[in-house]
Amino acid sequence: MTEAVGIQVTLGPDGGASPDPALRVLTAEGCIQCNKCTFSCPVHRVDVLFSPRKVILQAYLGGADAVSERDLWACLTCGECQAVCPTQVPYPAFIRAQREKLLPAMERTAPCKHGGFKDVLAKIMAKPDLKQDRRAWIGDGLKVADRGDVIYFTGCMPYLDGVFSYCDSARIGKAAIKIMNAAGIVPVVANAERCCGHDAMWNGDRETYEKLARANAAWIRESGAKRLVTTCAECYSMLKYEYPKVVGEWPLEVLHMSELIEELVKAGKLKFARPVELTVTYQDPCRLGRHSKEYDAPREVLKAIPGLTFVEMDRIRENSMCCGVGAYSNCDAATKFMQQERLEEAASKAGNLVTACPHCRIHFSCYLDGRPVDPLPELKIVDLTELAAQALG
Amino acid sequence: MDEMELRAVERLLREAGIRYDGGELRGYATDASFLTLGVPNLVAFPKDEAECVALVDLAIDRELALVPRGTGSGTAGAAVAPPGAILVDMERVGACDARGHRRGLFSPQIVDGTGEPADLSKAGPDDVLYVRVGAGRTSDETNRALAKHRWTVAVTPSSGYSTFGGNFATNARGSGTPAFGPFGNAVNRLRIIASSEKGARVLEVTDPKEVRRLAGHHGLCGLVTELDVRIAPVLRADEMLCAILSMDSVDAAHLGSTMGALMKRVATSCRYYAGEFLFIDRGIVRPDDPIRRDGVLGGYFSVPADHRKMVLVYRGKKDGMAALPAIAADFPEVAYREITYPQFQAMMKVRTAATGKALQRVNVPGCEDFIIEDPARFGDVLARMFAAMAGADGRPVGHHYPDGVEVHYRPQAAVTRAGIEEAWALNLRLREAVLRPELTVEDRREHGLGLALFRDGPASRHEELRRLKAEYDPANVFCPHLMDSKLDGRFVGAQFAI
Repeated sequence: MTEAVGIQVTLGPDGGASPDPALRVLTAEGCIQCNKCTFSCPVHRVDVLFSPRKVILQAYLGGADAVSERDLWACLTCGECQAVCPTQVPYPAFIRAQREKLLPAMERTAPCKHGGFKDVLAKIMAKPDLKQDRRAWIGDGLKVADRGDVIYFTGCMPYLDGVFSYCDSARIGKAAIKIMNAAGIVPVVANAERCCGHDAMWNGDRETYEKLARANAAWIRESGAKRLVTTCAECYSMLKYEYPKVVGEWPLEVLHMSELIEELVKAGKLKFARPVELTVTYQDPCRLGRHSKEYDAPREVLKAIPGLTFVEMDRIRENSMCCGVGAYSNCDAATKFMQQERLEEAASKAGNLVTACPHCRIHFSCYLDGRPVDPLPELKIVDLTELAAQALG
Repeated sequence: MDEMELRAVERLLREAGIRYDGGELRGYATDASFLTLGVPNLVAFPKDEAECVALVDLAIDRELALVPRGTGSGTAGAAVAPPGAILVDMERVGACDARGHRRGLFSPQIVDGTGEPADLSKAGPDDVLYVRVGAGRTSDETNRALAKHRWTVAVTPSSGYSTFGGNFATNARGSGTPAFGPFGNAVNRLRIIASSEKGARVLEVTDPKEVRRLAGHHGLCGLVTELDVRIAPVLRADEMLCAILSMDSVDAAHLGSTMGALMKRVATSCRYYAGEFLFIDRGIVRPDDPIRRDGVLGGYFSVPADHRKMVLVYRGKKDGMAALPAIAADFPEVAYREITYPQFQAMMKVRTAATGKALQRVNVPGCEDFIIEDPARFGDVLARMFAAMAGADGRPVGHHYPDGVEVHYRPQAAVTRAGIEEAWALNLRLREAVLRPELTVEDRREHGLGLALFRDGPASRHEELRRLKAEYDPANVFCPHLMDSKLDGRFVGAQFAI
């Protein structure tokens, strides 16, 4: 049965029909070969040979191992296929299960880009005796605590600027703390925090993912915190929906920063006093939108900021187009064409593209920092939390 | 096609710059029908008319068969090709940029009835206008482009993801058909790559009669590359009437005859854009679906034990639907309620997915397009259907068109080989029970399932298809296998690894 989060699947009573774990996931809901998945797939639009429908039929006819490695890694696991599927076939979960199954036989893990740094980072963070300084980026004037009711889970953000220096991702963290401080919250930022394991899990490295999940669960439980807030859509989907499957009882309330801001504004605990005179449009991150079904909170935040003009793109919410990269396992020429199309769409609506995931921001910024396929109008990629912090004055 | 011939064709396609796939092609062995003729030797993906011409020239020169495939109409219309044939995937034609990448957002050209460009921003509600689109475009994409002007594709088959070329090949029907007819009636002009003994012919067909002759050609006549498709203004909420009618009964025959009689009166007294029905059962929407908690619509999703519940929704202009409340009042067992357009859309979302909606079940299509020409026989047909379906999962859904009631049903099977085979056997029993002239039932083959086109398809169409084939494809390169009245596909479910 699918759960509230459609992308993840727990097998039901018929799930045991096949011994192959990936095929079990695929057959939990039956494909009718309607091809809507393929038609909505951003990869297919660029590479016509890639087709989820085709892959599923091949798997039905020849077993999951009939799926080529190329098809296995071309998938962004963005979930657009599942969102349009009349029977909600969990294609991304199938890809994840198949990657997991094949991992021991592969020479390396995911074809991770950027020198495999995310892969390496996850493995380092899974070491039990890891010592980190995860607060060095915070700077003066911002209050954080060692213990408290609210954890700010930074995710990979402190490390990202070492690779993607042009993005200054630490600004997102500083903005989050600024907002929480303004509402009287002094969040816990813990040196014990590890990578959430998102990329490891989606790239099939379950062992590393589970180590990370257990390490995080241990310090989070020990902290006694009641709520955990993150500015990262990937961390959010993992901590909220995947961790309970691995770490057992998980009474913690997990919030995306957009949900916290919306709550604080509605409760009158946060006031946006300074107009932000910008025209913006919004990119639904796959992990926050299709994977976690949170479409409204970011929009409510944008609507609450004075002076801001918010214009929707044509493809939004469950039909939103992916930023082109999933779990850093695919970034190639096809990615660039996807990004060009999505950014053209954004630029036709506004001068600023707001996203609620630091990784979407990195991938789009990376594209703009390089050489676009075709000329694009001036467009800035902005994080939602940073924009909200600007409105505090 | 032997190995040497295959390599030669691949080389020619490479030289022509046409994308193709000659590798693992089991994924193209079937469409949603789970019927197969085997695996094609090659799949070609032309992106524009020039590549289609090159492909047809190649086929004529080397005496190869081409089987065009869109994403068809609805979920079951993708064509299948026998071994030795080239499957031609048409979904990129007219939908790509120069690099061959599909652009989901585009600015369509609007034309009038003479093919001259028109300005949609200045158009009035009575203007007869068309959108000029590539065969690989879909109504979903096109409607997104038209939305800012509040216009829409006039005839939208239930799957907005089907290609216009496929809609034309099957002469699909759907929302808008009661007002504008089947898809072919909404096409004003098309370009088709036909054959001759010497090579490809690029034909522009503008005669409405000829366009309608070609509609429903099932790929027998050529590769359609471009169409002018009728568009219509989106109705304003204040000029629209949406209504929901429901009835439940333990007696399927009584239920069907009552609703059939009502539909017959609606067909003669009302003008409407959409008339859709569905039968409600436990699995039609998930237990946690928000629609179950909806204050207005939620009640329609509970069914008394042992009862069948049918829900019928209509949408039309208020003036065309004025007679509907009085007609409904003449049927005291039928509950009538006017609903808002968003509520109508919510029910249509359920209706559209209803044939495919199953919890941990696969749908096994086979009974897609039963047309009951006389709605008064609806009760007899339903009684036979439900008797054959006893114990099976799934539910009939369909459309009410002015010329009849169209019923779709797909058995739902556990995703095991045995389960799928059992569902297929049910399809065959249903066909035997329902496809009978005395019930005025015919299989229109609108959703493709084209393998047995000349065995089960509408006999009234066979001669015309033969004439069209002779005129447009004298070289006999397009789907020659479909002309074989004895052709029967194998059910692919028996080959599943599951």
